[in-house]
Amino acid sequence: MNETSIIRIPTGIWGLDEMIEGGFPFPSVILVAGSAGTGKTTFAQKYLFEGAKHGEQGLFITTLSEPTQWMLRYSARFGFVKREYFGREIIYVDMGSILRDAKSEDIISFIDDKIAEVMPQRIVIDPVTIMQNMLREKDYRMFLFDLTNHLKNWEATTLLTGEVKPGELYPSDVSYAVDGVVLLMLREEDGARRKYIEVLKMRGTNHQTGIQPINIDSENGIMVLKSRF
Amino acid sequence: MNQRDIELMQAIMKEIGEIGAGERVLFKVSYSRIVQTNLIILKILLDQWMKQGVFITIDRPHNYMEHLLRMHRVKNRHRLTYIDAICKYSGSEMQAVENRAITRTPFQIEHLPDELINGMKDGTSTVDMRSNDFILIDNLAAMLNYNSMASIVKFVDRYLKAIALYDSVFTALFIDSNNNPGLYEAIKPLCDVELEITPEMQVKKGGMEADSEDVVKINNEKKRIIRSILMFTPGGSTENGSPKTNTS
Repeated sequence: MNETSIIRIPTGIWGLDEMIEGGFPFPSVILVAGSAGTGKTTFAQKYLFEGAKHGEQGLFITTLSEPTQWMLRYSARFGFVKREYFGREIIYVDMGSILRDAKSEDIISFIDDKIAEVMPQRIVIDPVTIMQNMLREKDYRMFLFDLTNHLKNWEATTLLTGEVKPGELYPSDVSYAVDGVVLLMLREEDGARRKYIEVLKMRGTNHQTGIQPINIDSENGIMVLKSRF
Repeated sequence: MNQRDIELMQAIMKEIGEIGAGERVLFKVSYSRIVQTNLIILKILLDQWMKQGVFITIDRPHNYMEHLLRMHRVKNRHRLTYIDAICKYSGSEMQAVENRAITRTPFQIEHLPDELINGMKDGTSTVDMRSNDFILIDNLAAMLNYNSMASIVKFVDRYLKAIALYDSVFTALFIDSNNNPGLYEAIKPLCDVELEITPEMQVKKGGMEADSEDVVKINNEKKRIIRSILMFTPGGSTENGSPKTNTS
């Protein structure tokens, strides 16, 4: 056994671990990017519930995409969502009201405080790209550098979700700062929009390349289907 | 801290309360729980027992532990001195912590005991081991990123000999034996006592019961006592208590 080999945690996404040598590196910061409706929040929820199943503490921070109650109202329909984990193994924090007037250092300080309080092994910030609208370009880059640096130093693997704008493959500002990028995408095929996943970057990992079809079902959430490419 | 953490703290307090002041303790703990265990032990030593000591950080800059101690309302943070071996390479903005010494790099770690014996002087702080009751290293395996295994074993050996000059100093080391079995096997004989922080499920499986009362003679005739401390995980746990588990 190589003792400097990377410790990995299972993602909870059926079929994804096989594509990335067993799971996400621990600790690390991973971007899950996609346009609206691709399953980013479902991905993030499944990741936390997988950790809770193994006794790991999770922290879900929602930003200004939607209030936590609405996010939970829709995600609660999934079979993997066990309500007994709410408020215990998985702590939800709604950051919306703090973000309205905060400076970047206040945002990082708030996140640091929550992490120190909860001591999670798994963290989700959903979505991080909303900060771009609130900070100037230079501040946004500095914010991303400081945020990812702080997150990497905590004892956790963090998923940042990121909105992809029309015509954009992924949010490039964020992708430089993170250890891994997982893309979720929609493609038109035979007159229907189908969902796909691609691992674009995963540091320290010999990951599978190319897009893979996915399915979202109410029991398991996101599942990677057998490749058709 | 939640109820689980408090129970864990009480269990650890009971175990280390039975250990002599000058003993060298190896904590066998899953990588994902090392920070939590560091925090709990520091809370016990600083606030419950009013001890003064040193915390060597290699895994992450010292200001993260300072932040954790502050958030968890550890009152006697001023009793702790940090020796930070990583902050110059961390890209972190350092908050001013009064009691800190910073090593130049995390490389050639085997020279750190010399600096400890001589008192660490970096222009901002001096560490005088005569006035300290304990010394902790956050995560030994983090040194593997910057040093060879042989250097680390040499470091621990020289470090423990250096600390032995101050015979009342309690020493604690932390290793995840599942992910670093070679390092664990190399360090184990250098310590007097081994405490394993293990998830409840592992105990239920009976894997640790045989070890729970073991008393083993080692070369220098000191006793190595292996005890298990339950870490309660109501939602279940990995098989080995480590984040490295089977794929979904």
